[in-house]
Amino acid sequence: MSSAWRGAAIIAALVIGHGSPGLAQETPVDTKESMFALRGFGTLALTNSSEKNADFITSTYQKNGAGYTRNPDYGIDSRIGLQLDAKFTSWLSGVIQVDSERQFNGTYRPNIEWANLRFQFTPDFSIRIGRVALPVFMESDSRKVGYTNTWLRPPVDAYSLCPLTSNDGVDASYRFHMGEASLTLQGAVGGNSASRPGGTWFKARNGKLINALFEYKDLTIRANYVTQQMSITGAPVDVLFNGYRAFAAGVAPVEPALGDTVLSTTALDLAQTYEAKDKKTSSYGVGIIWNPGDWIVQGEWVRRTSRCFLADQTAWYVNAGYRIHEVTPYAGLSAVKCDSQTSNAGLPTAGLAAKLTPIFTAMLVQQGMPAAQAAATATAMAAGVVGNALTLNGGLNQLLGLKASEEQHSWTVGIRWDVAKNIDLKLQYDHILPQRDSNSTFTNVQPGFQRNRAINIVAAALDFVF
Amino acid sequence: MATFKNYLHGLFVLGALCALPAFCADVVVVVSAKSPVSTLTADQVSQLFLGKLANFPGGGVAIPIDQAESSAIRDEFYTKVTSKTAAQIKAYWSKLIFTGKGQPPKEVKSSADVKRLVSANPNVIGYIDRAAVDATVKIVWSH
Repeated sequence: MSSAWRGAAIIAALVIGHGSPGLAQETPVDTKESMFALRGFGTLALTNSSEKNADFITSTYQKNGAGYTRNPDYGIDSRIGLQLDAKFTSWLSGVIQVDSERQFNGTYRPNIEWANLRFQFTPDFSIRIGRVALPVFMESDSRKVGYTNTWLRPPVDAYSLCPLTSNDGVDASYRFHMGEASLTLQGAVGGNSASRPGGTWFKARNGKLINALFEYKDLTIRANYVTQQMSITGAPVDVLFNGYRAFAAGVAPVEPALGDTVLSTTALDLAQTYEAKDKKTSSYGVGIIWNPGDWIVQGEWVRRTSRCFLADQTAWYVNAGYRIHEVTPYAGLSAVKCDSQTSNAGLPTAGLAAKLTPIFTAMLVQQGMPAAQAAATATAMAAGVVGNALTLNGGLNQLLGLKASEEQHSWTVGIRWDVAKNIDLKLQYDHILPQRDSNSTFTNVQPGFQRNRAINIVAAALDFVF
Repeated sequence: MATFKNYLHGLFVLGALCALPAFCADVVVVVSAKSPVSTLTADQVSQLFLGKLANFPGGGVAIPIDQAESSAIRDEFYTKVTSKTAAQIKAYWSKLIFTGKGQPPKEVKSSADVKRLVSANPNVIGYIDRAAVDATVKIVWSH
């Protein structure tokens, strides 16, 4: 990261220090337009869920949503964004985009979505320094600008897959032309961090991304690979892994007497295996858009793998729309499934109490406790150790169970109506089928939530750009 | 007979529409008379105006210039060259703008303004009404 910044600073210094050798040369065209352009976009939406015992959310950053907390909800599909573009010279430009939408803490505090400087070395080669959207999905960077998309929202099944959505760093892009086709290669390095509901904090370091975009007439094909070192900290996860480490330290003194039962090593292994501390998290995917005239057909497949408690997941979707004058009906299918283990045997507890009791008794007698009292105390101590082990195992399996908790299939139908050149109205219906007893992508799940039952979401939205 | 009447009716409607310049402006794509570019295909013009191509075929940076957003000639140009409606073009550029991928062509008010910029700079490409064409510019695409 720091070396990437240093590299970028050197490039910037060279570019600024030596004028613009080799940069996109063009004779200025005086159209009396300002160097700055202020633009904005937004969506006003109402979202209703048929499930009253859980909240439907459209991003894992939202604290609450439609269904349990409120119904309909005005805030999970709504947002407003402002963007300032500055074109300093023919080869140097900058952008800042600020968005306001529901946050992890339930507020609408504005967030800096984009903030970067772009050096356009040639018409087909540029380098950006600063914050950009992390393009894990084909529409990752435009997912918030409702007006630019056919759908009301990107398929939740798929677009919830990546826990971090921005990259602070450097990225370079080069476009090759092959007749009427073009191939754009993008590479990026950087990192990012973000607060999530429930008191956890996600941080990615050493992020590397490669993206290939092939365009030919009405066809766009994309493939990408992202890898990051992910850390997830905060009370809910720290308690568990610190608990395993404390357990290991606690049982270490009696371990030699236990023979082949290796408690402390197992406890440390579990913490090491599942704790998200600089663990490699990767995702790769392919996508296709076919947009001949009035048709728009789009599909994507993305898989994420992680060397921590975070799930390995695969998500895909297909969506098709057909434009009839100002109206575009559309339909889609999407799914997310979990590919990794959702449980672990944890610490061995079978017969543990019976093994520990005589060891503790002997220790207590050696310390001068009367034999009868020592036996009773030792039994209680052994039960305590087993109880701790079971609590830790329970916590771990609850955490791993969350891996499966996003499994769902959905189908969607909707309609987009272009009411004016910069305004559209949308109505969308989603039929969500949670899988494998999971919470699906829902949050704030209440005791009355019925597993594996279809949930219907209806939303109406007005999108605009200005 | 009925077919013939429909045909006549069609001609009449077409004639009536053409009487309104808004419906029948004959849009042509022009570059400076000094530009080495002689002719472009609709696809090349489309790629230049949609920011997919930065250079003229054969070299030279291309600087496309748009007419006013609500003008009839602009709607006609995009419909003919890209087969996309004004709303689709608006959505296309919105996507590029709000993802930091590009900026739409600069905008001027009239065919006369386009002509002024085109004739002054061989890199500029614009579209104007055929009636506005004179010796300072050269037609590189027409319908």
